[in-house]
Amino acid sequence: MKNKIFKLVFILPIIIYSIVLVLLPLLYVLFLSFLTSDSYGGIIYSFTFKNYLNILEFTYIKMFIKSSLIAIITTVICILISYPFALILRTKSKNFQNIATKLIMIPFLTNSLIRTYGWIILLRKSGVINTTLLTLGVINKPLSLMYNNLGIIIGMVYTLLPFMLLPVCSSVLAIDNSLIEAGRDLGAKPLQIFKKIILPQTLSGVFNGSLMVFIPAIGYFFISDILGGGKTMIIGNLIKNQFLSARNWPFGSAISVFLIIVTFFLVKIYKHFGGKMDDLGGF
Amino acid sequence: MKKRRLHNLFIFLVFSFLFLPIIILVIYSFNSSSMNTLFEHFTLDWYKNLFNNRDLIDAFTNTLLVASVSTIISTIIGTISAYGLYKYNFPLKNLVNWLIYIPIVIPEIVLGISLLSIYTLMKLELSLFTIILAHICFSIPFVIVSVRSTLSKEISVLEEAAKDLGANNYIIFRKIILPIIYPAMISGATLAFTLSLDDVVISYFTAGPGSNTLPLYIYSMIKTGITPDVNALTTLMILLVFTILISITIYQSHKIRKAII
Amino acid sequence: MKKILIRLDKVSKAFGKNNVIKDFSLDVYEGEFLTLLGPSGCGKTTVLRLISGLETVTKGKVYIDSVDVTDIDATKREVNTIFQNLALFPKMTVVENISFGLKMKKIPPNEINKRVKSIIKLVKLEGLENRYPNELSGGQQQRVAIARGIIMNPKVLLLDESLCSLDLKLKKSMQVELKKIQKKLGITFIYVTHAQDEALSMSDRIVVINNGKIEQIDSPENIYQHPNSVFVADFIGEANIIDAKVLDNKDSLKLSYFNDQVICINTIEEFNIGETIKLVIRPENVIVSKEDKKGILGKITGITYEGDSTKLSIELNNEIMIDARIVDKDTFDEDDIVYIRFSKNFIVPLRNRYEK
Repeated sequence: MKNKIFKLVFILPIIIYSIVLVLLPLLYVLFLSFLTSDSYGGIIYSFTFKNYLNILEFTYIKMFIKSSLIAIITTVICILISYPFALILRTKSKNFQNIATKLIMIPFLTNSLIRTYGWIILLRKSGVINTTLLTLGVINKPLSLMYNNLGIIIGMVYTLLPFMLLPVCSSVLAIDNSLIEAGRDLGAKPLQIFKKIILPQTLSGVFNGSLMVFIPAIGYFFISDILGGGKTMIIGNLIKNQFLSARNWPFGSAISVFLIIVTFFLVKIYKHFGGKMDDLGGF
Repeated sequence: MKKRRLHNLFIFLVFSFLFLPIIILVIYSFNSSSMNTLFEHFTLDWYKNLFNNRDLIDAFTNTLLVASVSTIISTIIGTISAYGLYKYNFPLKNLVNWLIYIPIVIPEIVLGISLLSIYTLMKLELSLFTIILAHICFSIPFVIVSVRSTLSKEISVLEEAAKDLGANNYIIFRKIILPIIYPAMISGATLAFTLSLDDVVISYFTAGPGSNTLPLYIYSMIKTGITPDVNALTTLMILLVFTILISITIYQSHKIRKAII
Repeated sequence: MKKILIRLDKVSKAFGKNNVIKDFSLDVYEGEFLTLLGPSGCGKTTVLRLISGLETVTKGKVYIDSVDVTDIDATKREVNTIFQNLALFPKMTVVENISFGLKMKKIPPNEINKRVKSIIKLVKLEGLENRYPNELSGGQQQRVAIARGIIMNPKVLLLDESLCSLDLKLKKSMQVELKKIQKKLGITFIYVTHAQDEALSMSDRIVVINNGKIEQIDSPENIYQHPNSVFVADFIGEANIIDAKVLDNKDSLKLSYFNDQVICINTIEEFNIGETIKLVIRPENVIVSKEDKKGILGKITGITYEGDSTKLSIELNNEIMIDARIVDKDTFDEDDIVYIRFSKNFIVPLRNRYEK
């Protein structure tokens, strides 16, 4: 009897949590996505596929492609920064590695919106970068560093870089030194060592990071809002607008369902290449 | 040698990139200009202003409240759930084990709108409570993943040893398991706290009119222009965070040194 | 007759569809050192866990001190286990580990102190009371684990391959010490191992288990000298096992083997004329000589020096390999032609059982 109560204490909260706070909301969104909205933002309970057909409209498809492109570019830049960073970090002392990985986390502790705002001070026409370059005489006309796609990408890379740095660093730092020494001992050249030893062992870290960068990058509406000047809509903006300004919840839900499917698909690929689910949440 | 200098430069640049906007905010908190444009001259006015800006202080305390409450609750639930999922079999276990990864992987905006929808369906008025609930929702899985990583097969042998010596389930959890998972629990809690402080998207959808948090306050001001007292607040926050982190690091390296000797 | 402390009565244990233990019956006497010996996966650890209560039986009954404990939880059985990897609580000191069980029993603190002190003396852990397990050597950890078990004054102490993680030298000294402790306290020990040397040197009785069934229960000497099955002969020590045919069974057993060899041996077991049986001959009971032409002709194909003795691998004319163990190695070289004989009193005839 006592043991039964004990067991309930340990499993009931998670059952309630995962059903009430995870499963039900998502099922409800799925349900909403088949309904219709009236012109006042209300919901009409008539079943339709219209919302999904709407997604196929040219303007939306164009937006999806653009949003995915921004996310892909962001992901690639993050990889290009993180991988060399991790390889260099490998050559440093354990103490340095510890401190460096801690430092990566620190920006998180200030809110990401505040840091995005910091970028405005840096990037705008009268901002720090332009003023400095003008005073130094490098340029004679201020550069357009924000309120365009460049601004969005800078913001995305900045906000999401730690999500790439952490898994890539932990996978690169986890490589056993003796493996590399053995490779060297057998006469492998640096490039061969990289291709045969380092790359295969760190691929799952890179996939992990890519997933944690790409997925948020299609949803972070506040970055495109603030640093893109509202000119470029990413999928996140579209969903936000459907829920808050256009008040077409069914359509917004349909896009969300579409995003969930994309996410599941990406996770499937990640798992296919040997990625572990627990690594996605382990920073 | 040259290569090494290049390496150091690269590391330096990456960290500069990560910290640049924060450093700028700190510098501009001492700038007398109210427009956050050019640096005029040094002042501490914004720090004084900060304490008169009720809205900002409210937003900040709300943020800390949300982060603390959601961290405590999600750490407790996450820890006991990690152990429950490790120890017990129950009918919905596979489903639960699958569902807990969803808040980690799906786009935050989807989590945000799905919670908003279900709140509306349940006629829950948006408030600090709904934000806290949302933050608990996305924090629990991270705590579970963190704690679960320390629950290995060896733990089950320890459980059996304790049982063999006459310990009941409660004592096994309290005296044997908890001391072992404690560090993972703390790092899970740290993660939950950090993610809560950093969150914009989910708070954006689950906050009500009377429940301003820091990101929402800033978001509403960003178009009209942000006053430097926000910079001052950020500076104070960073100072606090650094102090905590440095003391943790010193404590840990002290422990490592002790372990080596 | 000694008192029966533990009785397993036709016990079976299945994990899913996998029957690990089948109709297993065993009596353990008070004060004895009993070893469950068998290859890995034979079910010996499961038998131990059924006694400790960490597993429950699928069928059958378990009695401890004549009380039916089949449905009683491990928490309440008066037996304690020393686990294979020791399972010391990592966040507790030596004293905290050792006193854990007594605290669970709500024994008054000053009595706990007294008992802990005396047990620490017994297992020679003085001065290490406040160390954590990771600050101890393998042998010291072993002692903590033993102390943690015996402080409970269990009726039976169960040891699950407890010494197998130690290096050879430490293992030998722990074996001696374990035996000493057992004699001193008079506690019944049930020891599980796959290492026959441990079993032979420590036990009063050995239970050889194979495929979840008992092959043989006997004293170490009898198990070694008179194995009752080919499995036991093969598993314990080294053995030459050869086919033979019963020619006569009147006074002594007259056998033919290797087609042309005939031998008479004495045995209590009865065999039928014409029956094909197995003969077990330990390597040390093979007599090797260069001169004795009455023996069977063979060639030495390998010599393994083993310190106190030397093992010869000999290939006979009929291509059968025979191992012999000799004391004086200098007489022989590889490729030498030799003659072998079996010392007749040490040949064990076994009925040819069909094994799955």
